[in-house]
Amino acid sequence: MRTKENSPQMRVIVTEPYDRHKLGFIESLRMMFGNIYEARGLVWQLFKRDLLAGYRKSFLGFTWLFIMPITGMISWVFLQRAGVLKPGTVGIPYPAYVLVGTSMWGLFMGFFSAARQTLASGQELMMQINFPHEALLVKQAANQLANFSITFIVNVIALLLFGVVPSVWILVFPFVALPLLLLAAALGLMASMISVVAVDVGRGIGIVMGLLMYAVPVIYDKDQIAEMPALLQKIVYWNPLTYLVCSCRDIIVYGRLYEPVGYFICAVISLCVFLVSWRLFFVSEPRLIERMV
Amino acid sequence: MFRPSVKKQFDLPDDVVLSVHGVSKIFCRSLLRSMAYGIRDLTLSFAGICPERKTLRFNEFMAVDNISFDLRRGEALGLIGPNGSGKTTLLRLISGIFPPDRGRIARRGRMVGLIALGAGFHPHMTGRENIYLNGAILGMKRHEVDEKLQDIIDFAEIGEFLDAPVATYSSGMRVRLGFAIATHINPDILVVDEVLAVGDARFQRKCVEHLRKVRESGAAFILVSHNMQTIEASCDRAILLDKGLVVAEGAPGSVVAEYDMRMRPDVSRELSSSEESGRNDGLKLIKKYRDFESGEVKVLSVWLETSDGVKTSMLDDKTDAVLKIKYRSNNPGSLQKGFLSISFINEYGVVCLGSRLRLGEKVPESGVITVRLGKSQLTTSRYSVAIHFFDYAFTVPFWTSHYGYIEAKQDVPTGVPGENTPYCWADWPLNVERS
Repeated sequence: MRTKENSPQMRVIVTEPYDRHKLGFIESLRMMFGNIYEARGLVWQLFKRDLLAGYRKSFLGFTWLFIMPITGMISWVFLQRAGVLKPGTVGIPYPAYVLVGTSMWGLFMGFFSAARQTLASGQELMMQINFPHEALLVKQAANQLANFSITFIVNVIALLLFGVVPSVWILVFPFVALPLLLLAAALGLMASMISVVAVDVGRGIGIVMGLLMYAVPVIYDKDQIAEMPALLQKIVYWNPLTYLVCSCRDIIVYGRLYEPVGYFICAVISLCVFLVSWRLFFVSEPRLIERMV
Repeated sequence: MFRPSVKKQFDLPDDVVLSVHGVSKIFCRSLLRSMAYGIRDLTLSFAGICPERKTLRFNEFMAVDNISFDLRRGEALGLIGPNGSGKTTLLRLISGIFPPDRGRIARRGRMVGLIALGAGFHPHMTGRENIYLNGAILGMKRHEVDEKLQDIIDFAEIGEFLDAPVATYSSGMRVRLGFAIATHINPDILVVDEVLAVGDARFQRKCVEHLRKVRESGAAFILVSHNMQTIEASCDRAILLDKGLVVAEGAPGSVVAEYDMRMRPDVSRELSSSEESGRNDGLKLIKKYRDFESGEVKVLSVWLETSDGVKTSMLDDKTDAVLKIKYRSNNPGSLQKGFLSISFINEYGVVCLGSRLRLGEKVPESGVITVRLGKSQLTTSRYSVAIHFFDYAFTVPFWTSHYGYIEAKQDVPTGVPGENTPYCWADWPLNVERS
C-alpha cells in the first residue's frame, strides 16, 4: 500500500538555496496558510500536548488556569486597600479597572513571549524531523488564546462582582484585540529570530518588554498622566501599545475605544509590522535552523 | 527580486524518489562567527541579495561537498564513511531539515527517518496519545493513524501499557513504540541510521524482518551504518563519504573494500607494497601458539594462489582460489592419521568458514598441501587464516598458527546478513605433493 500517485504526498518537493526568497509575498502567504491547513491535525496534537500535558501531573489540574488571574485580582484589591495603589477617577472601582487593564497587558505579553519562543520550543523537533513549522506558530498562538480566554472569563466575573456590567461592545472585543495580537506576534517573531543569531540582543528585548508595562496607562489613568514628568508623558503618548492595550480595556469597561484616531493609526502600523515580520520569518526560518545547534 | 514561482513542475523520472544534484553545505567552526555570518546573511538576503556561495569565509568548511546521486523506488543505498564525513548533514539536507548552500534536492513521497525515534513524545501523555502525536509530526492524518493503530500497538508489544504515560515505559519500550510508528506509515523513502542496535535481540530480528517487508512493498532505503556486513548484505549500491566528498560509489562490495582500506592505512600499505614488488613469500604469520608445537609438523609457509598458479592475497566470488601450505614433519606416521583444520576468521574474531580435512596415508615427510577453495563464499572484509594440525583423535594439536591477511571481495548484492557467510564446514579437496 504505497501512497497513491498524484496524491499531495507524491508531488515533487524541490529544495534549493534561497528558494523561499523566490516566492512572492502573496504566494508565500498562500503557501503558509496551505501548510497550516494541511497540518491542522499536527497543530491540534501539539496544542493538546502543551496544554494538557502540563497539568497531567498535578491534582488541581486545570484549576490552575483560574488560580492565576484570581490571585492577580486579589493582589490589586489588596494594594488598593493598603493605599499603595493611587486610585484615579475612572468611573468604576479602581481594582477592576487595573485588573482588566493588566489582563490586556498580559494578553500582549503572553502573545509576545509565545511568539518569541516559537523557534526555541520547537528546536529539538526541528533538528530531527522536517514538518511544517507554521504549525508551531499556530500552536503557540492557540495556547495563549486558550489561557487568555480563562483570564477573560475571570475578568468578566470580577467586573460583575464589583457591580460593573460590561457593555454590549464586549462582543467586538476579538476584533479590537486583533491589532494588539498582531503587534505582539510580530515583535515576538522578530525576537525569536534575533535570539537565534544574536543571543544577547534577544535577552535584552525580553527585559525591555517587561519594563514597557509602566509606559502604558494600565495601572494609572488619563488624569494621572497629566501629573507626570514631561518625558514620561511623551513616552506614553508615543507608545503604540497605549492605544492598543487601553482600547482593549475600554471596549469592555466603557464600550468605547481609547483615542480612536490613535488606535486606528496604531492598528494599521501593527498590520504592516506584522506582514514584514511574517515575511522575514518565512524566508529566514530555514537558515536559522542550521544556526540553532 | 522575486521570481514568479519555484512550485513549477520539476521533471523527476517516475521511478526516482530522490534526486540530489551538486549539493553542498557550509558550516562554521566557531559559534560566535557562525552567528555573525548568520546576521549578515539574513540581512543581505532580506534586502534581496542572495549570493551564490563560492568561497569559504574564515573558519568555514564544507560539511557536504558537491554530492550528486539518484535514489530509485525500491532501491537501497548504503551511506558509509568515517565519523565526521558528513553523513548526518547529508541526511538532514535530504530530509529538508535545512536547505543546501548549493545544488538542488528533489524528492517525491513521504520520507521517514529512523534517526529520531519517538520525536516529540511527551512523557506525561499515554502511549495511545503519543502515537497520535508522533504520527501527526511524521505527517499522518488522523484517519491514517486510526487505521494503523492496531498494527502499531501489536508491533510495539506495549500491551497493557498502552494507556499508561510514556514516562513509565522502559527505554526499550519507548524505542519499540517509536520504531513501530515510523515504519507503519508507508514511507516512500526510509532513512535508517544505525538504529537497529536498540531493543533486545528478538525485537531486532523482528525489525529487520519488518524492514524487509517495507522494502518489498517498494520503499527506497538509505542505510547509514558502520557495520559493513549490514551494508553489503542489504544495499544495492553504496556511497563512501570522506570529509564531505564522495570518494567511492558503486557496488557495496567494492565500496566497502575501499572503506576498509582507508580505515586501516597500515594494511593497505602492506598489501600494496607486496603487490607492487610482485614478490610474495606467502601470508604473514600473525600468531603462533608455541605450546602446541609438538614437532610432529612444522608449517613453513602458507599462501594463496589463483587456479592459474598466481600468488594473491585477494579472494573473490569469481575466481577459483587455492590455499597452499608448505610443511615438514618429523613423524609422518602420526601425521598421516591426523587432521588439518583450516578456518577463515573475520575482524571480530568470528570463524566464518572452515574445514576439517583428513590428511591420509600418502602424506610425506615434507611437502606442500594444496586445498582447493573454489570460488570464495566470504563477504567483503578482511580475514585471517588459522591453520591447525591435530592428532588422530582431534584432541592433541600438533600445530596452531594464524596467517593474514586476506581481503575477500564480493560484488554481487547479497541477501540477509549471515546468509552468505554461514559458520560452515566446507568440503575442500586436498592434495599433497612431496617437495
